[in-house]
Amino acid sequence: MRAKNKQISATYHNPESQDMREITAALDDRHAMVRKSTLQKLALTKWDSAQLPLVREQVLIRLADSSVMVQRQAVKTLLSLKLEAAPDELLVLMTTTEDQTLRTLIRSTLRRIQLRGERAEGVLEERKDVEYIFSVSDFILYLNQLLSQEIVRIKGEVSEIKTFRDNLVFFSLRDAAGVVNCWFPKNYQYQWGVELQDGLEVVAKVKPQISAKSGRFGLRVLELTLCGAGSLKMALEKITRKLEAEGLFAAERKRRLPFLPDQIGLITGDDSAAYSDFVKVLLARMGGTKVHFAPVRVQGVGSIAEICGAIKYLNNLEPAGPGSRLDVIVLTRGGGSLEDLQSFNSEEVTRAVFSSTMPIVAAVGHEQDWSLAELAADLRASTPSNAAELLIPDRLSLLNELDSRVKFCRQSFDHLIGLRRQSVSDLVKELAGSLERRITYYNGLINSLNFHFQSLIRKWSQAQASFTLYQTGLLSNFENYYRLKKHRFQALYQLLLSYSPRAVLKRGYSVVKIGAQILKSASQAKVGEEINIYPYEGEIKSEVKEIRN
Amino acid sequence: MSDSTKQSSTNINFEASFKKLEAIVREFERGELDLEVGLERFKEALKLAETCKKRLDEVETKVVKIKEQFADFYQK
Repeated sequence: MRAKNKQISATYHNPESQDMREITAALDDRHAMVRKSTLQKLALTKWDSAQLPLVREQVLIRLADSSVMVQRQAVKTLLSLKLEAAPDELLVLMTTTEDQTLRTLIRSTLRRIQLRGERAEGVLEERKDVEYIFSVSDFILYLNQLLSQEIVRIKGEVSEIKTFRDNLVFFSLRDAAGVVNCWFPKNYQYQWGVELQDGLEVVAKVKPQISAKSGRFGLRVLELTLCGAGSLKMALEKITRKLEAEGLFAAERKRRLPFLPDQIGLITGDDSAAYSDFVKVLLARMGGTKVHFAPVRVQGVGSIAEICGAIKYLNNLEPAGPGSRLDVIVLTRGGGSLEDLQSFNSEEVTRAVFSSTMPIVAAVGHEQDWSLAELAADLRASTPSNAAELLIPDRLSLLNELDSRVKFCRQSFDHLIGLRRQSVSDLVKELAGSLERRITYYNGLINSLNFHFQSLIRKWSQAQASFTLYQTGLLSNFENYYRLKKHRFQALYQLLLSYSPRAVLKRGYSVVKIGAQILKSASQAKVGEEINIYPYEGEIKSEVKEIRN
Repeated sequence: MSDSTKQSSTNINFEASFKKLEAIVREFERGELDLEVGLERFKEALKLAETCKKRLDEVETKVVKIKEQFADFYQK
């Protein structure tokens, strides 16, 4: 159904190529939603005066539609078709319908048509002049009538976004000094491809309106575009943060790529430089590969759905030939501005890349910033050619590698044989060598033994000779010494003898003792005490008679 | 899991052979092989290199353009 809507709108963009039959068919579609949205589209299209009556006729038929929803839309559409007089069908419907809303809608439409007519005739001007008194609803109708001519584009910053009953979006558009309230049916944002968010700078094509119910002034947004790269960048940062938090770019989720893929899925633009670059490098590097090429639009309306669809298609592809699945998918395109890369930066494509069961190589010919699709891919290449280089090893260098490996094995093996031969001869050499060394050693030992023995004998006889010599010398020395000492001893002995107390006693002196004590003073004795006197010879016992000090 | 096992057979042969060859080279590099095992490894290396060369000698590369409305596969 969506596809059908798009088809219709596409034709309307170019009024010259209008095909009334197609419109009639869409208006007769068995789905009420299709009929309604066709009517909506009719209201938004600018018709030239030749087409207007035809379109009006078609819309008038729809007033008799079986669906009230379609009837209401037909009434709204009629109003935009610049009717100068109220058609009878409208009057009939107002009296016959049971739908209250529809009736109100018709009444207000009739009033507007009337006002429009009056304005055309200059009645409105007249009314102001003569202090005409409006009813409230008439005044609102009157103002809206004036305002509806004023379709303008406004640039401003989005804030305070609110969704009403999941089908109307309200937001404020502001700049430094002012603010206006805007609204639009939620579905429209899919057509515009703009996800509203706070702080986003946009250009809105708006039609001013006053709500009859609330009296509020608001701008009905007819078209919304992002304003410049700054705005896109912000939106990109927001998605990046969101997907990063979900782990879509996590290194540990990256899968290993097959070493030499046989079946490659390629998603890129048809007839694009990216396509020819990739295939060219592929052909130059290696044969025997099969490429399943999915041509898609890589930017603009519909590119997201095509890329996502292609990823899904290739994931389920069961190609003939070796294996039953592709080995890898390559998603690539040339470089471009941030706007060009929008689909590669979109949440949908990034998620599709992430959830692919095949490993994906993504490459946007753009060195600096990575697109989100590249961040989510298992491998990122800088350009389409680089993707082919990373994916497919070069045939020649692989052959060289193989050759050098085989060569190395052969050399190593030869070396092994050489080692074995060497080791046998080494063993013999070593044995001979060690025998020789041993003989030399013993020879040396014998020689040195002989030498030591000789020197020992020599030393022994020397020692004997010197001993005899010493012995004679020693004897004569001792005799001299002894004789000298004997004389000296006798002299000393005489001297010693002359010092003895007995020599003194011999000269006539006596020693007096009381008990064992030698008496040196008379006061040591008492009268009547017994004392012993020792002359040179014998002993005299005596008694003290008198003491004189 | 089933996806990785469904990889094409020649692909696996090539990659496995190439890896095995590398392992043999490393074994030789360590220089711990004796003559008998060395001979076995050498014979195997020759066989593996042959398998790899067979894949590398393939010349033809085919590109098949898929004619589908890819958008139709999205959101299904």
